Amino acid sequence: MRLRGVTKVYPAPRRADDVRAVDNVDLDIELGETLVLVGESGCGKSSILRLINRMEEPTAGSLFFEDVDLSTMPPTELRRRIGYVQQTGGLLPHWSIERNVALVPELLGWSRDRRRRRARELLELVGLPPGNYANRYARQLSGGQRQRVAVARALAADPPLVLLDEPFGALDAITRAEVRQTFKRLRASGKQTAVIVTHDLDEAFQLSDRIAVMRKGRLLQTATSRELVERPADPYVRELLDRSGVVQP
Amino acid sequence: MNRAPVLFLAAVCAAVCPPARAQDESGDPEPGGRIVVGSKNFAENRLLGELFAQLIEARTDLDVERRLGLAGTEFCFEALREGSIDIYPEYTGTGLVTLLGRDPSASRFEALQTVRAEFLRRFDLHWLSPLGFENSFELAIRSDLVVPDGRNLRTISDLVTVAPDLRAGFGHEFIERDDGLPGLARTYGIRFDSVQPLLQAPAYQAAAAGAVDVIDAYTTDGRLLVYDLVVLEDDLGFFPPYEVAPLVRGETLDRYPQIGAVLGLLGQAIDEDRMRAVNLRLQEQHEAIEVVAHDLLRELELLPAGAETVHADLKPPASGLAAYMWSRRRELTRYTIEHVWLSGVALSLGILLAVPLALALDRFRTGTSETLIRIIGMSQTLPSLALFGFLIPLLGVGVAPTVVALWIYSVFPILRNSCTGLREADPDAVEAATALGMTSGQVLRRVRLPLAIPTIMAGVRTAGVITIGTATIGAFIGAGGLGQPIIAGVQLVNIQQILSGAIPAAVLALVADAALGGLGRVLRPRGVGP
Repeated sequence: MRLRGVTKVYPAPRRADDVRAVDNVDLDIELGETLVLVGESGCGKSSILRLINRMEEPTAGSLFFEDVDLSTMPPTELRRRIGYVQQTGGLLPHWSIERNVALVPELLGWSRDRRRRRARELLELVGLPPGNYANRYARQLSGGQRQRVAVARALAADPPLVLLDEPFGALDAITRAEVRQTFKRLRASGKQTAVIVTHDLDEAFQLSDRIAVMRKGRLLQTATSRELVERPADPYVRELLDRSGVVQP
Repeated sequence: MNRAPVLFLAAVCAAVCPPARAQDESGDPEPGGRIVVGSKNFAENRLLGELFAQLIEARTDLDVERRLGLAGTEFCFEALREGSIDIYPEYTGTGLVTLLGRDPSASRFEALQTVRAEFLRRFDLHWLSPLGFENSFELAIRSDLVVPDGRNLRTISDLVTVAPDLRAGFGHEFIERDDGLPGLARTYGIRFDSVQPLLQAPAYQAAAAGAVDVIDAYTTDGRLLVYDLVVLEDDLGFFPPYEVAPLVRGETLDRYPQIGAVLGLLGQAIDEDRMRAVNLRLQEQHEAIEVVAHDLLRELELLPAGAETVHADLKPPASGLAAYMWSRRRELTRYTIEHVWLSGVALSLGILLAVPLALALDRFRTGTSETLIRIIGMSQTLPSLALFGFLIPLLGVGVAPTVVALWIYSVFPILRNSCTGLREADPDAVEAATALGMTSGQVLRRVRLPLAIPTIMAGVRTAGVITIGTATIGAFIGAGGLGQPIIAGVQLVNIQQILSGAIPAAVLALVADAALGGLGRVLRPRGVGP
C-alpha cells in the first residue's frame, strides 16, 4: 500500500480556512507489517484509513494497492478485500454473531457451509465458543466481546489488509488488554498487513512493527519504536514520547 | 316448464344494462336492477330518501342502495350529476337559487316550471311530482322576546328594529346561501348583534337555553310544535317557495321507467301538518327513520299487500344505551365492518405509497427530502370536507372518495417515520456494512430497512389510529361507517345514537392500536431492542 502526496481537505463553509485533515502525506506500508498511526485526536489518522478503503476520496494525490491506483477500482470490491474494525465494533444488531462474522464471505458468495465453518473457526479463535455465541445478537454481548467479533469479522475472508480504527479505545483497561492479546495471537497466525489507529502510544509500542506519528494532518516520522525513541525527528515526537511515559529518560 | 319468457327478459336486461351489470345478474331469476337513493344530511331529507327507497323496494323488483345523509346540497347535486346516486329529494327553491343561481323572487308555480325546464336542458335531471308540502325557511324567535316593553313582533319587518340587540343562530347553509341570510339582509336591511353558525338541532337547544335569540327554521320542522318559539311572517315574501320533489337522473328514468310511476304515487300526498308530525317523531321521539318512513307509507296506503311486515322487526327505541345498541346491533355491525374496511384499505394503500416513497426520497440529500416531506405534510391540514369538495367531481360519492381522503391522511405519518427510520438507522452498523463492501443497495435492503422497521411500524400505528378516527367522515358522503350514527345523532340530538357510533369507533381505535403494536413487535427483527 503506497500513498503519494495524499491530501484531504474538508470544506468549511462557515470558517475562513478549510480543514486540511490530511496534508501531502507520503507513506509506504510494507507487506505483512503492522503499522500503527498515532497522534492526537483530529490529527488525520482516521482519515488516512478512510482514504485507504475509499470511504473518502482524496482531494489531491494518489493511493496504490498492490501497485494499482485505488481510484481505478470499484470501491465495493476494494472494501471486500480490506478488513475494517471501528471503535464501537459496528456489528449489525439484527444479524446473529455468526452471520456478522461471515458478512464479507457472504458478499463474496461463499457457500453456506464454508461461511459457517469459517465463522465458527474464527469465533473459537477470538475466545467466543460458537456453541455458546454463534446464535446470539450483538446486544447480548459485552463491549469486549463485541470488539472480538468485529476483529473476527474483519479477518473472515482473509483480506490482505486490515484497518483498525481505535479498535480498543472504548474498552476498559483490563478488557482492552485481553482483546489486544487476542488480536496479537490472531496476527501471529496470519500474514495480513495491518494499519492500526490509536492515540495510545503504549498500545502502539506493543502492537507495531513501525509507528507513524501524525500531527495536524502531516506525517512527522515513520519509524520502528526503537528508532523513534533514539532519534525522534521532531520536537513534537519527543514531547509525545515524554508525555506518554513509555520511555524513562 | 316454458323458459322462453325468462330468457327473453334476461336478453332484454342484458341489452339494457351495461355489460358488467348484465354479467353480474345473468343468473338472477329476477332481472331487477339496482338504483341508488341519496339524501341530504338533515332529518326530513333523510326520511324522504328512506321513503323513496322503501316505496321503490315495495313496488318494483329493483334493488335499492341507500346513500343517505350526504353533506349538503352541493354534495348531493354533484353525486347525482356524475351518477353516484340516481335520485334524491330536493326543494324547488334550492334548485332555483342555489343550483341555478337565479333570483329568489318567484311564485311557487314559476319556481317549479323554471327548475323543471332548466334542469332538463342543462343536466338531463328530472323533477318528478312535488310531494305536496312546502318547506321554506322561516325565522323563529324565542317567545319571551316577542312582547318586550309592549312591542309585538309578528313579521320579519317588525324584527328589523330590535335585531341589532339579538343573537342569531343560523345553519351553515343559511348563512352562505343567497336565499338565506345575505338576501334576507338585503331585502329587509336587517342586522343582528351576532350570527353563530349552528346545526339545526343544536340551534333549537341553544334557543331553549337562551344562548341565541333567533334561529332559522324549516316550515315543516316538528320542533316548532314543541319548542317555545314564534315563527315570524315573511311579509316581504323574500323566501322562495320550497316545494319538495324527487330529483332523478334522466338515464335512470330511461332505464327504469317504473320509478317515475312509483314515485308519482307520492304526488301531493303529504301536507305540511303531516310532515311536521312525522318530523317530530324523528326529532323528539328519536324513532328509527325506517320505522317512521314505513308508517308513513302505510298511512298513505301505498304499500302493496304483503309488504306490510317488512319492517315489523324494527322495535321502538329502547331505553338505556346498552339496550339501544343491542336493538341496533345489525346496523352497528354493518357500520363497524364498513368502518374497518374503509380504514383498512386506506391504511394499506398508505403503507404501499409511503414506504416506497420514503425509499425514493432516501436518494435525495436530507435538506431536499425534508422539504418534500413538509410539502406532503401540508395534506394533513386539508379539512376533510374541503378535500371531498375536490374529490367528488372526480370520484363521485361513497367509498371511493372516502378511501382516497383517508389514504391522503394516512401517508404522512408513515412517510415521516419511514424517512426518519432509514436516515437514523444505527450509524455504526451502516458505516461497518459500507466499509466492508456492501453496495448502497445492499446497505439499504439488508441493514437500514430492517433496522428502520420499528420506526416505520410506529408510524403505521399512528396512521392506523388517525385513519380509524377520521373514517367517521365517510358518513358525510355516503360511505357508511360508524360516522353514520354519529352524524345522524348530532342532527337529531340523540345522545344514544351518537354514542352507539362513537363507542365502537373508540374501541376500534384501541384495538387497532394494540394490534398494530403487536404486529410491530412481530415484524421487529430479532436483536433489535424495543
